[in-house]
Amino acid sequence: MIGSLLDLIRRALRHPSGRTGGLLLAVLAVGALLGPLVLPHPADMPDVVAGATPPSAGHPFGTDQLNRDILSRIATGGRISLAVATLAMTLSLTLGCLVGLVAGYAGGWVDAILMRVVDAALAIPRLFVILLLLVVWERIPLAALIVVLGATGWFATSRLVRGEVLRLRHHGFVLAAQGLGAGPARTITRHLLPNAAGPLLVAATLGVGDVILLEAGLSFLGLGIQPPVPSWGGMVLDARPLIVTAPWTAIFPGAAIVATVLAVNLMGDALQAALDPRSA
Amino acid sequence: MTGWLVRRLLQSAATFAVAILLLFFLMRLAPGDPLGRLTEERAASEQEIAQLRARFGLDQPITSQLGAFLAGLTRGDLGVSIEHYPERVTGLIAARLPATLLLGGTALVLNFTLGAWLGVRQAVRRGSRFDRWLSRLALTAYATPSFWLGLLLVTFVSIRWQLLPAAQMTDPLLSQDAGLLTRLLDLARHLVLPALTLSITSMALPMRHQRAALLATARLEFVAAARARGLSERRVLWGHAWRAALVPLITLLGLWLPILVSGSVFVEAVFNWPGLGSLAYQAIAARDYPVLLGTAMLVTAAVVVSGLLADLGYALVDPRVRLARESG
Amino acid sequence: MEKQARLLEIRGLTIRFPAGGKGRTDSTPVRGVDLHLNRGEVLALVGESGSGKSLTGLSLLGLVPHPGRLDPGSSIRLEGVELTALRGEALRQIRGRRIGMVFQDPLASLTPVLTIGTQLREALTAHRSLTRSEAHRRGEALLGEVGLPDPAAGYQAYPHELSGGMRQRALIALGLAGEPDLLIADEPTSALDVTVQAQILETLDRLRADRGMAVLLITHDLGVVAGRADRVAVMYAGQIVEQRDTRALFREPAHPYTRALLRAIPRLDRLGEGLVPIPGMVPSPGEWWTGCRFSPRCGEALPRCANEEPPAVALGDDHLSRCWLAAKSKT
Repeated sequence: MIGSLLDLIRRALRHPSGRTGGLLLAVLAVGALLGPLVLPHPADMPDVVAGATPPSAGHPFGTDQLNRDILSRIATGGRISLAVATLAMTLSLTLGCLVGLVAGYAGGWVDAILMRVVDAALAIPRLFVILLLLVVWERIPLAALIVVLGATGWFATSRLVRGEVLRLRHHGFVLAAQGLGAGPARTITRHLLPNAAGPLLVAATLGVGDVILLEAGLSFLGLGIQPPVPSWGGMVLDARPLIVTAPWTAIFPGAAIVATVLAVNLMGDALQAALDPRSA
Repeated sequence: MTGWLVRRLLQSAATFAVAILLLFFLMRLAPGDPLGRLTEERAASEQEIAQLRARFGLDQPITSQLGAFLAGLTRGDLGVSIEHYPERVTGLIAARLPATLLLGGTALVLNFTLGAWLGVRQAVRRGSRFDRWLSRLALTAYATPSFWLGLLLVTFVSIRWQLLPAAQMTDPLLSQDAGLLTRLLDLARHLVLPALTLSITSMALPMRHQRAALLATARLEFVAAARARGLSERRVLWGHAWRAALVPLITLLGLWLPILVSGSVFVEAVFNWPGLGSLAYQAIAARDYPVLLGTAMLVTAAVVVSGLLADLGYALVDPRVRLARESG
Repeated sequence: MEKQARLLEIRGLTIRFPAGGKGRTDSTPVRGVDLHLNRGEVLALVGESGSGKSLTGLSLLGLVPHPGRLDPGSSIRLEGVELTALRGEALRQIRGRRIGMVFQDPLASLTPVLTIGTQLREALTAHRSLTRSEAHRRGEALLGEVGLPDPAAGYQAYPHELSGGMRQRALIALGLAGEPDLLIADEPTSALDVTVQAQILETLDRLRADRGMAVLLITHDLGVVAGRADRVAVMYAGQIVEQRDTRALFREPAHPYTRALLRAIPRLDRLGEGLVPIPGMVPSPGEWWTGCRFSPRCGEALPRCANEEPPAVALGDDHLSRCWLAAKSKT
């Protein structure tokens, strides 16, 4: 399974979108991981007096309203945003696989009920569900944010997995494997998952982009990553009062979001094309 | 046809019912006290709190809360707002709905006309620089957070260059006896930036969709056959290839609503557009559950209905489906 | 021999599909095809699937699918006009008006979301201006001519609402709408039941006679050809291997492939004889080599057949055979 996934990734990287996306992602990831260690200015040393300064040699992206280096904040914020998105996506994938497997295997009324719930959940716009869940807290704990993001993103995945299960259940090789005494666990890991892995990877990659946008939006609304932890959406929120005089305070964090989501989506597209060449 | 329609309606109703239940339980099971904020801010007395609890039925066991909730629903009563107490939620929503419909509708029209047309043009010039660059542009736009784009547009277009108004739906200084044309123009000027923001950040979807759909149909034999009869390229493209590719676009239309709705929360917040999005935004700040729940329910209903309408539209547009429905 | 009015002259037609990636050669599913057709004549182009016959038909209308293209040196002349040089509006004038085409699969070749009537009306007005009602009348009349039992109903119907036979007839009507001088019928009966096949062929014959049209009948079925075509061109792996008038071809086929094809047809007057299939498979366009392409399957192959490509040998009255045996017989 890992082998086929790596092969898929390799093929995707040969695609022009894959190359751009992969490169961009690599740059961003390196920036996020190493940036806070390497950059001279700390992300967090508020100086109320000095205030925002435009981009300069010492501060390539300028400083924000508390004279904190924006580049450093973007790097630190990147770490957090990427971590949140990845963790949330992992949770979504796990939940989706679980539910999909159960529904596909059990069949009957269990499947019917689960799918009815999935349909209903898909009808409710994700943002509203998240808002309703997050509004309870005064200060939203990071764990809660990740769980909420993850718990609202598994529905489409479950349909995908369920579809694979149903499709493969009656395939010859599954029946043959079962005939040889393979139990459901073995059938799942050896046969079902490798087949579903490709489409799942594509869905997951594209899903991460959505989560990043969602998290940024939530932070902008004050419901995401809470200050003083830097987050890109939060930085745009902070920049709002001074945007006319100091537009760079909003431009750079937003550009970081665009770059990251774009990179992820390009990768997702390349993976999709590698998986199914006709869809290009 | 009617048989299918009835079944589809029941299906939608069932989905909606389950969604309502989900929303209800979502709210009641979330940790924290719905009234917590209220008690903190208003420093209400014990008695007042108890009264409020009774008023909102929060002291009842969950089953009777559900019962009351559903009963209220059948009466069309979505409860009372906490923040704007004692205003009814339905009233607040009704007041804000038209603005969101205007904004969302404009973005929808833009996306499905300009977006679809661009997608077709891309398919026709597949592989060209136009095609490739437009795809990159659309993808970048899709990756752009709507609140950020909105803020930037306000800053530069409205404030710095003074071209268009920065906020709200109408000019508060417009005199009472201004003519209809002036009012409409004023509305239009206010509509431009928010609608553009909402539209740009979501246009990639119908563009891609149409491009893919047209590429799929263009390869089909009936397109070559039409060409063989000496029809003009334009006729072949729009009358045959696109017409056949139109069908999947209808289904996309049905899925459009959740995207527009979520986007409108941010856009309305940034532009202070007096619609449901900003109502939700204010409700978030005020922890006003009934309003949030009511809005969520309305939007869910809209999503379910639009899905149903899309299916109907699909049947109307594609004669093959109509036949299957009639016999099925 | 005196020439009848020559309508179509194809010389050296070669269709090339560029190779996909590096290290792969281009494929030429049609190579060096020479054909001619006189006014009012029926020429059958016979071959197995993969022989290139459909592509040959499509090339007359400039409809070779991307990325295929005609090699320079390919010539298609319609009453003197070089079709390969036409583009845009000039090409559009030919399509439907001078050359019409009836495609193979009627369900796939009719636009599913438009009624037959709409498609007919378009085809009729593409080359002459008619009012809507005139076009409607003509369209219904045309549907009646092609043998649709209820032309008015057929006009209003969507393609999927008609039976296979009716769809094929509608497709024929569309091919005739521009009143072409040449009709290309690409496997007009392959998608149909046997009983319906004969009817369609009768209809085509009648229409041809009524209009004095020339027909290029593309088929894999030699049985369809007998009695309906004036001349036959047999195609194999992209080349014409034998060309002759029908009767003579059936009586004494010169090329081994033609002989093998005829042997493979079940015949009522030779019951008891087993069917003799042709061993082996048609090579795909990318697999071709320099010798005679039929040689591996040919029961009479000479040693030189595998390495040297045989020329088209003229064996008498309008009779060509691309074979070393034919060359030998001439000397």
